[in-house]
Amino acid sequence: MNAPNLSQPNPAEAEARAAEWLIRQRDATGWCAEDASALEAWLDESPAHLMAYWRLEAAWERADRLTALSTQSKAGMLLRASRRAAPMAMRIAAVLVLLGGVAIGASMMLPRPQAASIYKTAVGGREVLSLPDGSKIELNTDTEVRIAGNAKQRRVWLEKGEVFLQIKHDPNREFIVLAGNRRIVDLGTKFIVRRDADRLEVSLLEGRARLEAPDDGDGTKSIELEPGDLAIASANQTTLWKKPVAALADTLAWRRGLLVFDSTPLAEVAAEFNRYNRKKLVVRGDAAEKLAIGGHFQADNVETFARVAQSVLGLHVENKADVIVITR
Amino acid sequence: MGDTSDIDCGETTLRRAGEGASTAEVKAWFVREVLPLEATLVQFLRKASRSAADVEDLRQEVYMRMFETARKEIPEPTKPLLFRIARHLLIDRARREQIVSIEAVENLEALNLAIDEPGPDRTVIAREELRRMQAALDKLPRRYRIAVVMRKVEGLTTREIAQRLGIAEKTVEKHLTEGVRALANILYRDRPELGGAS
Repeated sequence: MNAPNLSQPNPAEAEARAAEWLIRQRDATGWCAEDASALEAWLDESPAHLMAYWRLEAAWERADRLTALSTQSKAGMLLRASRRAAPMAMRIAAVLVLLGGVAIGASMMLPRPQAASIYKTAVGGREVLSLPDGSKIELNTDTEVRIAGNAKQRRVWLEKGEVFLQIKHDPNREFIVLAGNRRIVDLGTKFIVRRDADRLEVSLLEGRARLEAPDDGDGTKSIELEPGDLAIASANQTTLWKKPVAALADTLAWRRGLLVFDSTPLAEVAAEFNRYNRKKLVVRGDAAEKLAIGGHFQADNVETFARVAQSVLGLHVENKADVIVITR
Repeated sequence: MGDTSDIDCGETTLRRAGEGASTAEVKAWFVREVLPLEATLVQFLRKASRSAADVEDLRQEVYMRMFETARKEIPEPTKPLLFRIARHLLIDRARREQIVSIEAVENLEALNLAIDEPGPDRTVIAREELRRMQAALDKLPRRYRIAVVMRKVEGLTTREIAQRLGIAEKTVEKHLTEGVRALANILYRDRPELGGAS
């Protein structure tokens, strides 16, 4: 057709080169700074190169969904399975069957977020959301989040309750948790955010995150959180505590349906149980409220706790239809 | 703590950020808005072209012009512009080559209709997307598929795949590059064009 045009390379050739660059660039090994600048130079040569590269890259990244859905252990299984002498076609079939199973099992798989989606758990409920990018959000009892995202950013609004976030960090697509007037910007992290009526707690287990709050003027103050940091924010102030990471991990016992207490005042213990149960614990009297409690309890079994309180702690327990009253 | 700061931490700087839209914005738009239209675009171009290579030349030219436009300002909506550019390109070429046959004119008219066909649904949920990926993988020639699955699902490097399969690294690289090209064609056109044209 047209006479060859310098600004318009042969499309098949451009695509073949783009594919080579992409595969080499995405290899875990053997990609160095010179390669990176050579790729830059090639992309700069013509928009046709850039378009061809973007197109293949987008297709390749769509296939990342396969990676995101095969958890570590499953990938491990695949690895072992394929070492056996099964014919390759069978190995591939096994991979696809496995992925199929994952797809069906992931009942709360999110749509590619465009408009905000709302996810709620009831009192005593727990739910795991798997985002298409491989990030995971676990919702604790009585929690509500809105999730939205586009090509540039991902956002989660914590309306109430508690979430544990394991974020696949992407510098080109920042992940922000919004809770009231606070923002937590993920910098590659596992963290917990809990929002009660008048306070917000952020516990950082791995990586880094930034907690931002409005300051007295129009700007924002921000705190950079490190592993072991527990930030407690009330309406207009934020306190930072340093804790052993293991202690923070105890606060994640809810993921296994447990509550862990360590010299926790009974009033607080009751408040914790009440987050998970419709039947509420009521503690009356100063002496009872301040009694220190330790141990592991099933979050959804307030009756058991009441029995322990009665028989072990010698407290007076009155079990009514929808409340359990504890006095000393 | 307590510093007032704009958000710049952890952000990668944008290559070639100039006036107008940033490269990252153009790229996001290209992936989100343009690529899903590729199947319809190629169908459109095919009706007015003489060869597969011809279609590819035209598609490349359309993408380049879309890119140049978006660099100044991201077009909104995308679809009418894409097909306006494609139509102008076809008309220009017909004029230049003085081959405006009745057939071509008819096609150009008919093509107006094709533009309003609903494009591929962009809001496919992840599960459908996964099913689609599986279907796309199924369509790959076996040796490409093996390499792609080993890379994508098992996360192996080219060298590791080569060792596992007992073949040369160059061969694995070839299978991966052909694999990603075929995958793009399947995903964006539902029509595998395998083996590459080069």
